[in-house]
Formats: sequence, structure tokens, C-alpha cells
Amino acid sequence: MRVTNNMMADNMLYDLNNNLTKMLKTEQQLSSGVKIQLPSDDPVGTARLLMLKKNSQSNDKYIKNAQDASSWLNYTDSALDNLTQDMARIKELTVDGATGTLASSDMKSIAEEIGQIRDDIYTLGNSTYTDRYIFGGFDTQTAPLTKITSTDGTGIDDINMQQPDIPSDYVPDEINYEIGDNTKISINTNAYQVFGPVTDADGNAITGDLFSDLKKLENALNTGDQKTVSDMIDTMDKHSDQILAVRADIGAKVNRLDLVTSRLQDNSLNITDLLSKTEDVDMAQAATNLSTQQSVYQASLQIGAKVLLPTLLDFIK
Amino acid sequence: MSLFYGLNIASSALFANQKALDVTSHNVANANTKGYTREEVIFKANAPSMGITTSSGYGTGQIGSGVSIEDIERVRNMFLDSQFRNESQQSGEWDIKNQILTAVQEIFNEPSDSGITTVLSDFFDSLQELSKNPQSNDVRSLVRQNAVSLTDTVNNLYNQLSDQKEQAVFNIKTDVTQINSLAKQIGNLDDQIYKFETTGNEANDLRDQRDSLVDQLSALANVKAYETSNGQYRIDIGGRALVNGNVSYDIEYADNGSDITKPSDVIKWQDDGSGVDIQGGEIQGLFDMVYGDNSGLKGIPYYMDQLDDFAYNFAKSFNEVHKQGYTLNSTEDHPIAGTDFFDMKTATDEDHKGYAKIFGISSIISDPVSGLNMIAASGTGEPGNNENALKLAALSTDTTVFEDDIQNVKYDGAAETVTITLRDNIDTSSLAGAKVKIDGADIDITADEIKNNTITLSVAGSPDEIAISGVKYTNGLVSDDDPESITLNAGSYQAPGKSGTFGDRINSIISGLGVDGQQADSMSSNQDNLVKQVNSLRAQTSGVSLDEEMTNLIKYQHSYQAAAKIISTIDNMLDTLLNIS
Repeated sequence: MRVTNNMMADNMLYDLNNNLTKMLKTEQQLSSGVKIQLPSDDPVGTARLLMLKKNSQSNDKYIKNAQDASSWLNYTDSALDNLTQDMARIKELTVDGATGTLASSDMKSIAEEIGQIRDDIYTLGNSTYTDRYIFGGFDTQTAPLTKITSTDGTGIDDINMQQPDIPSDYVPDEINYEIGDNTKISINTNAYQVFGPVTDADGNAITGDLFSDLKKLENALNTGDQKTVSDMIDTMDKHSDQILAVRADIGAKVNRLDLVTSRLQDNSLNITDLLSKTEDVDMAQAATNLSTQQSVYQASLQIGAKVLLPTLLDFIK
Repeated sequence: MSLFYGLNIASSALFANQKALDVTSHNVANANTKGYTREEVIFKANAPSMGITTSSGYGTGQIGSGVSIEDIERVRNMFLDSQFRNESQQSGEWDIKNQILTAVQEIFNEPSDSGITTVLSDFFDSLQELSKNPQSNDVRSLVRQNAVSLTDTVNNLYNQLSDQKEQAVFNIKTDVTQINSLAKQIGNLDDQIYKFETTGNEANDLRDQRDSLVDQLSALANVKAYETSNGQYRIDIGGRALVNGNVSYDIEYADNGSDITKPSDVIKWQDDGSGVDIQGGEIQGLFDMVYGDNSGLKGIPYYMDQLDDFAYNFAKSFNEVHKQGYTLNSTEDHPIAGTDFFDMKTATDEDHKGYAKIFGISSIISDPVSGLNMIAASGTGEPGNNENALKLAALSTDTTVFEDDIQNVKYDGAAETVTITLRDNIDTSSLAGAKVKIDGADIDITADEIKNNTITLSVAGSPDEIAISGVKYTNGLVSDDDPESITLNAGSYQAPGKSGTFGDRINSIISGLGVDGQQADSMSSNQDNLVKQVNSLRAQTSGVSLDEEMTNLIKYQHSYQAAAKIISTIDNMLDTLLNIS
């Protein structure tokens, strides 16, 4: 086979070029840290990578939502904790006031303290969290409880909230957060659920709402109506139980969110791991490749130099 | 037969070897000239003079009369040339496709942290934030900003793809000009070669030039070169002559916009306007990239159409859900419903070409004073209600967004009803009052015939054809006269399922692009290898080897010296003869 000098030179150049191309690719991978620069480098890997990224992003989104939901619920719970303490004090005072042995001035001081606690509960009911009334339902910009000066001669203000005509007709406003694909959790508590009348199994009211009951109690203490005060002990117990039930519900939701968050975070770790395996360059491997390619390149340069130089001219005198 | 006869023989050797030396030095001088074919000297023994049988006794047999150069042969293999041109044509086509597809991939910039998938994901994230805090102005502002990012990204992608296309069209025009110019040059060379070769010799260097031009031409289009009996070339494209002898025919590029499926629709012969049947080479590659708009031939317009499709369906689906919600200005007694979030402009289901370029949020939402309030996050009108925001965020996982509006049309002969099943999320409020044509007769759809997502119509007799206006569908059962009707052939029509979320649609565009890019890359490097191999074979035959030329140099020099020695010997002999006194 006849071989010319140009053929040798062309071949050498072609192979050198190939070596350099491989080196360039490895060097790009090392300096950017990713295996796939263009989709055509690995179309199947690219498809997988894009899907993993999507999963990772939606997972992070759900974690954030779960944490925000938890915050709201915890804030609600601490408000209700204060409420529970208030209710405990009210029970003490009511029991005191129900003993027949108190003077009317003492009963009036108890009434006054009840009045103060009622105001405190009113403030609690209008708590805000990040500029929203937490007990307001969908109407987060309007205070759920309003105080109106009373005209019925008792001297005690009315505290009103939105109430349905029939307690069994009540549909609570549910603000939902998404914590998974098509999975939602409601995070709010409505004023009516906490302060509204306690109902029996059929949905009929067996007490008034908390504020009107407290007003009744205060009025009874003011006017010395010991019998009513005595009846109120049971009523206040029922209200306390209702509040506790709401708190239990919140507690259950918080627990659920803890589980969900923990699961999502585990998922997140797994996905990050998979992402890294698909997308990231194995630094050790790439560095080894680069060093191999460099030796090959140097060898080809050296041999090329030896092979290209001599022609017959060097030996003809 | 005198001594002078011997002198003649020796001097013929001198001339021949001198000439051979000239050829050797020409080869050496042109060792690195591209396209140069080495020349080989063919020596021939001169015609012998017949021996004359005379009484003097000389004439025994033939007596040679020296050497002359018969031919300076150009050592070239025509078969290898045609092989080279075949490979070069493919190489031209795949090289340009590889180049353009790489550019398209870089435009999409995936996978990365700043491509369209990230922007889309950020938009849906901001909608999640909206669902957690629907009244906050900050969050609404974030939603609007992310929406603008999304539309800007899509606009940008479309514009860059469009620029690439323009660039490729410009390349086609340049290549056409180049073909014309090469053809003209080849024609000129043909003329010169013909004139020279009438003298009986081969025009070696001119032929080299001509072959080099044909090599360049072969990368551009599928040319076939033949040598005719008078030594001129005929170069054909698609069976018709581009160069015939010394006449060349020009071609031109003319895009008249309609119905373009192959290169001969846009590249025409200048003299009679008929199509040039180009089927390979760089021009074919460019053509595929500029005009390929269907899944069989994925050029730049295909990706632009996919982008249009995505943007249009995104805007449409988003608007549908947005209009079901209520804005921040609403109250429970006076709810104000949402309007279009994205501006649909004049796009329709049948024609939304170029929508990706004008995709943008509507002026109501972008209004600096009242725009933020017009984002409809509430499901009931109360400001704290986040139901619609949740629905909007849920679009990111909705797999029905690309489905046809009409999923199924069935005729029940026993109950004499036609039941039309629509896709799940469709806004049926616009359907009451839409017209249905059954076998050409108009039927109104009344509101009570619409339940959930099905329309049930009573129809007597068995209808063959049903047409519905105002609802989108595509089907393979179209009758020629009325393109909007569905023919109830087997009694029912089932829509082709096309499901996937918005993210999935983008992902499939990108991975499809990756597959095409990979194919172009590997074809291109394969072809490069093949071209190199054929070139190597050509060099094997026609390349100059310096070693060989040096050896020849020594050969001819020694022959020359020997011949000169003979002359001087004969000279001595003559001397001896002449000095006989």
C-alpha cells in the first residue's frame, strides 16, 4: 500500500483532534460540575433529570406549605391555651359566686373580674397572625367579634359574631393548604366553632354562645341571682369541653403535619440523591479520565513528531 | 548506422530524463497543494529502425532508437472521486443539521437552573404562596412578576428560534449563489481544457482545479459529475444539467410561502422556473431545518409550533380556571368574577401560529394601579378564600390540559339520543346556545341538555354526521365538504388521547430535541470519518510522496549522468575516428 507524507500528517492530525475533543469534553464536565451540557449528550438522562427536578421542586413546595400550616395551627393553639386558662379562672369564680354565703359587694367584685376576663377573651378572639384574623374564616380582614354598647339596661356590652340561624345549618369556612399531590389540609378555626353555642347530638343548641353566657353570668352576679350563677357552672363546663375538643383537633392536625413534613423531608433527601447521581459529575472519575486523556495526547504528540520528520532527504548526501 | 546514430540515442535519453526531472520537481513543488494529483512520467522506447539487410551485414533485427516521453500521466482514480463526492454530500447535510440543532438546544438552555422549566415551576410556586395568603399585595405582586417572567421567557425562546431560522434562510441564499459561481467557474475551465486538449495532451493542472471545484460543489448539493467524450464535464443536479460543457445554468431561491415540502419547491432553475430536484448536501440539510414543521421532519418551525401550542393551551386553561374565581375587590354580596389572566389576542384553537411571540398577561392584570387586585384567588368572593388559587396551582399537576374538548360522541339507537362527552375541566357556560348540526340540520343545545361534562341530545333516526361549532376537536373522520363535522361511522367517535401536564409537555419537547441532536451529532461524526477514509484512499493513489520523488530524482539524475557518459564516450570514439590520419 502506498503511503504518502500527507497521509501520515492528516491521520495524525485527525487523531490528535479526537483526543483533544475528548479532553475538552472532560474539562467542561469538571469545570461545570454537571455531566450533561446539552440534551443531545444524553437524551434519556435529560428526560430523567427534568422529571426529577420537577419532583424535587414540588416536594420542596409541599414542605414549605406544611411548615406554614404548622405555624398557623400552633399560633391558634397558643391562643386557645390562653383561653383555656381564662375558662379555668372563670370556673373558679363561678363556683365561688355560687356559694350562698357571699355578700353582694363580693359578688359584684367577682362580676367585675368576670367582665375583665370576658374582655380578654374578646381580644383573644380577634387575634391576628400575619395581618389576618385567625378566627375570621374566609373573612380574614374583618374582626370576627364586635363589641356593641348594650341598651338592655344591664350595663354590660354585647359581643357579637356571625351566627347561623339554626346551629345545625352551620358550615365552617375551611382554608386549605396543599401538602401533597391532591392532598389538602384545612388549617383554620372559626370563631363560631370555639365561642358558639354547645350543641347536643342532634345539633340543637343547649347553651348560648360563650359571650352571651358570660354576660348572663356577670349580670346574675351583679343582681345577686345566685341560682343562675349556680346553673352557669355546668354551662361553663360545657364551653370548656367544646374548647378542649377544638384544641384536640388542632393537636391531631399538628401531629399529622409533623409526620407529613418528616416524610417529605426524607423524600427530598432521596430525590436530591438521585438528582446528584444523574446530574453531577463524579469528580474522581472525571479527573482520572482527564489524566488518562492527557497521557494519550502527549504520547500521540511525541510519536507524531518522530514519525513525521524523517524523509529520504535527510539521508541523501 | 553511424556513430551519430548513437549520439542521437544518448541525447534522447538526456532530454527524456531532463523532462522527467522537471515533472519530479513539479510534483515536489505541489506536494502540499490541495487537490493536486501527482504526475507520472511514462517513458516509451522509440520506434526501432528496421535493420537493412545489405551486404555490409548491419541489418540484423530491430535497432532501438532511444527513449521518449509518451505521456505525463495524471494518476487519479475516478471511482474514488465519485465515492468522495457521495460521502461529502452526506457530510455536508449532517454537519449543518448538527450545527443548527446544537444552536437550538443552546437556545432552550435545558437542563439548567434558568431554563423554561424552572421559570414555569417558579410561577406555580408563587401560586401556592397565593393560596396561603390570598390578600397579601406582596404575594400577588410576586405572582404577577413570575407570570411576566414566564411570558418573557416564552417570547424570547420564540424570537431566538425565529432568528436561527432567518440565519439558515440566509445560508441557503449564500449556498445558491455559491453553486452558481462554482458552476460558472467549472464551465470556464471546461472551455480552457477543451481548447488545450485539442493539441492531444492532457491539461493536468486545469483538470485538478476543475475536480477541486466539483468537490466543493458536492458538499452543497447532490451533484453527479460525468466526463463527456470531448473531455468536458457534465454536472447534473436531479437529472438536469447544471454545467454542460462550457455552459452553466443558474439556479435561484424563491420562497413564495405556500405548500413547501421539498427543496424543489423553493429552489428553481432561473431560465424556466421549474424546481431543482435537490435531495442531499448542505442545502437539503438547511431546507429540512428551515421548513421542517411536522413530527416526521423536525426543523425549527416544528419547535416553534410546539412552543405556540404550549403557550396557547397554557393561556387558555389558565384563563378558564381564573374566570371561575373572584377578585380581591369582591365582597360576598357583590362578587366580581375574574377575567382573562393572559391576553389571548386573536389566537383560536385552529390557528394559534406565532402565539408564543405575543404571549403576555392581559392589560387588566398588568395595570399598575388595580392590576394586583384583579388576580382572582377567591372561590366565593370573600378575600380570605383561597379556593381558586388552589385550583390555579393545581394546574401544574393536571394531566388533562392537552386533551381535546370532545372526548366521545356516541349514538344510542334504542334511546335515540346522541351523547357528547366533553373533557373534565371544560367551561360549559359557553355551550348553551352553541349550534349543533346533525346531518346538516341545525339543533340548539339548551342548558338542561348539559349535565356535568356531557351533552345529551334526542335525535330521531340514525344520523350519519354531526357538526358542533364553538368546541375544539381534531379527528381523522373529517368529511371533505364540511371540515368541522364528525362522521359517526361506527356509531361513535373517540378522541385520540393526548394527556400530560404542562411540565411534561416541555420535557418531551426537550428530550425529543435531545434525541434528534444526538442523531445529528453521531451521523455527522460518522460522515467525517468516512470522508477522511476516502480522502486517505485518494491520497494513496494521487498524493505526492516525497520519498518516492527523491528516489525518482536519484534515478533520473543517474540516468542523465550515464547518458552524458555515453555521449562523452562516443565523442572520444569520434575523436579517435576523425584522427585517423
